[in-house]
Amino acid sequence: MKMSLQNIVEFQFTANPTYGIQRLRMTPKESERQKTLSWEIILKGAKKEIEYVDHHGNVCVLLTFEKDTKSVSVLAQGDVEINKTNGVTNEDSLIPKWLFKRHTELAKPGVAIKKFCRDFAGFTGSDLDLVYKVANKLQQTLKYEIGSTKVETVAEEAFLLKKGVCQDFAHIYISCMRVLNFPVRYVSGYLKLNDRKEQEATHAWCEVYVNNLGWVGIDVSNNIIVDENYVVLATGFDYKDAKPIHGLQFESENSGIKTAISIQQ
Amino acid sequence: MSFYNEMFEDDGNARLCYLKYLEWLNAPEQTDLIKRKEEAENVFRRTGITFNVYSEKEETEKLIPFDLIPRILTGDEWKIIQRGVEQRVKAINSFLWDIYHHQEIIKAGIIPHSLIEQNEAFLPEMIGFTPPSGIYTHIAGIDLVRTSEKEFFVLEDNVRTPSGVSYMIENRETMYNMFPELFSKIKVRSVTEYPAKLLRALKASSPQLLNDSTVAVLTPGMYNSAYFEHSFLADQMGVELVESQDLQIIDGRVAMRTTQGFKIIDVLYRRVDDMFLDPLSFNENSALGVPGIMDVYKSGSITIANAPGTGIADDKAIYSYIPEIIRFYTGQKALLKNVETWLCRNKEHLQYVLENMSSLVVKEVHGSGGYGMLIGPAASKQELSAFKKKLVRNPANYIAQPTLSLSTVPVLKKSGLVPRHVDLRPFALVSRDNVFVTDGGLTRVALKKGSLVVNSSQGGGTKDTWILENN
Repeated sequence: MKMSLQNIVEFQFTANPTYGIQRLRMTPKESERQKTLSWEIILKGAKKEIEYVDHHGNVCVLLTFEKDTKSVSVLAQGDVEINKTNGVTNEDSLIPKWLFKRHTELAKPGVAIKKFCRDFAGFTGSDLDLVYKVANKLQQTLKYEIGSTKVETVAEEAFLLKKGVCQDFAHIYISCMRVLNFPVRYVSGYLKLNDRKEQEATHAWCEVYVNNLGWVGIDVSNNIIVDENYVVLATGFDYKDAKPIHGLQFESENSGIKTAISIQQ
Repeated sequence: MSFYNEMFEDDGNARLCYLKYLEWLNAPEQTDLIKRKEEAENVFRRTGITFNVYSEKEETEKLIPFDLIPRILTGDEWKIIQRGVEQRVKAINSFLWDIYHHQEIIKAGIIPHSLIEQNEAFLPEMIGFTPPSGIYTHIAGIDLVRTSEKEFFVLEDNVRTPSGVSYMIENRETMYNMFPELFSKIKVRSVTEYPAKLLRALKASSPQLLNDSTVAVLTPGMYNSAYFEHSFLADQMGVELVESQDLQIIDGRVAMRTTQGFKIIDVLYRRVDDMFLDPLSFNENSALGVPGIMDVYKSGSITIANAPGTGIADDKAIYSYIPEIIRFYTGQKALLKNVETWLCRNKEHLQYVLENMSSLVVKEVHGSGGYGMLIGPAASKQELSAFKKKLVRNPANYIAQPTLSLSTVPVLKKSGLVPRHVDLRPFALVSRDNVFVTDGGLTRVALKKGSLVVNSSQGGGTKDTWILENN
């Protein structure tokens, strides 16, 4: 399936930053599952410095702000071909699978998550069954509620609240699957909802590595296996190294961020 | 315990390599040597060689005591060290490339992946990336101790940002200035070309195939304990000393502010730790680093010396695997011995350490500068039991080693020459196809009688280290 995507992000500043820098992961990641047909990033108020592929295989673009700019806008757009792979993907990577079992700060399990995982200790089904079962159970346990958590909320906190957004759902699932000894990673990207063209925000989900199969995409927020409506931007150990925009600026604050995403088939 | 005295044999006769020196020392005109000791201290104070000591109290600048009696090694003794260091440093570089690429050493079952997995010094950002010219540890300092005539043990590898080389050079300068006649009497190999060699090695690792690469030294600033060394080396190499605020990303490169505007840096000799190097990649609160430098690095436009992530090779737990690492990558037996090491993360080892603590030295895995360590034989009962509690709480954080009988070299006291324990840190510079070990090094000496702790932060001093021209 071919999709045309467009994402505009605009930052407004309270004062002109003396220096600002951002790392974008806003170019779809190449894999067996998805091919980028064309892609461009157009900047206003900023200048592209470098483009490279990071250790996870994500295309990173480093930009710096132009002098005396009051706003920076990033437009990322292009066409992507998504193959039907039943949610499974594979790619060449030197990162050993065991490294995806290492707990990270944002997805560290606490007492509550560990207790939740204990229910699966005696599970006798296949690995793939367990991957779904945990996602299912979490979906029943957690409530999707915008504004209930913050960007820095960690898995255990959100799990105790029993609510959160896609980022929290992904971190909680990652945390659980690592407790259960699966390599698992965070995915940021786009989800095309069928009833509309304009989308609200970028989405986040997970990929679990199942032996003899590959990375299986699981969207706990929607409790479904990742299908052709999902476009992967970046993958990482957690949100920190998969987030679409990561930046910092000096002597200035953001006064507002506007995002517009449109996806067309 | 008996100790190998490097100057005198057991019967009191001088060893061969010290004969000429002692002849000079015992001449009637050297009677005022003790007074000249103060002279040396004044030189140091003038040149500003100081060392910050971190303690509970205020940070204070302290002079590292310099002892006028040189430590002398013969050319033959040096050959053992030189070859051993070279072999070790080469193996460490091969290990680093492997661990950040295919991890053959783990697949071969030689190193457990848990050792890497739980190690903060391992940087996933480095996976699949080869630094310009393929070098990870441009500068390495290998800490050695001597236990007999021919036996040298490696105590520790320092391949992150080893310090101390400025003392090696300044100690020699001071000796030259104070006793020029000694150097015409005894042929000692020179160490003063170190900065030129360092500059050459750094330039040779430049990502640009230019003859004239721009090198700069990045310091955390004047409050860092080794600031003197940072400015000393920049000055000696004739390159800029820069701090975080002098640097920014321009045209996809790292550039420094100069009086003539911004200038692109090809090779950055950084003396800032990995975690503070890039707030965009690591500790985001770091004000000591350069945001985006890792991006420039990974796009291949700058050399960072030493490479980020090298700490995985000098961790005290990895240390115990170095002989196997050498065998794996070079097919050779390690020339320099390792000190037997118990890893407390291993249950049986922990048990042994708890039962034999009074005869062991226990160190933190990531510790340095002699902080947080326990010397069993010197510890009181209370200290031992308090340390045991710490150990049981977090065993993976500790390793233990037998208390070694460190060799001694005399120091000058009012009463005359008295033996004190020493270690040695030789410095190696790595270029594309060779490892250069500077003919000298930093000899650290424990100034307290019987003490085995030579760290300057624990009251140790330094000596000039002489490698004799002849064998």
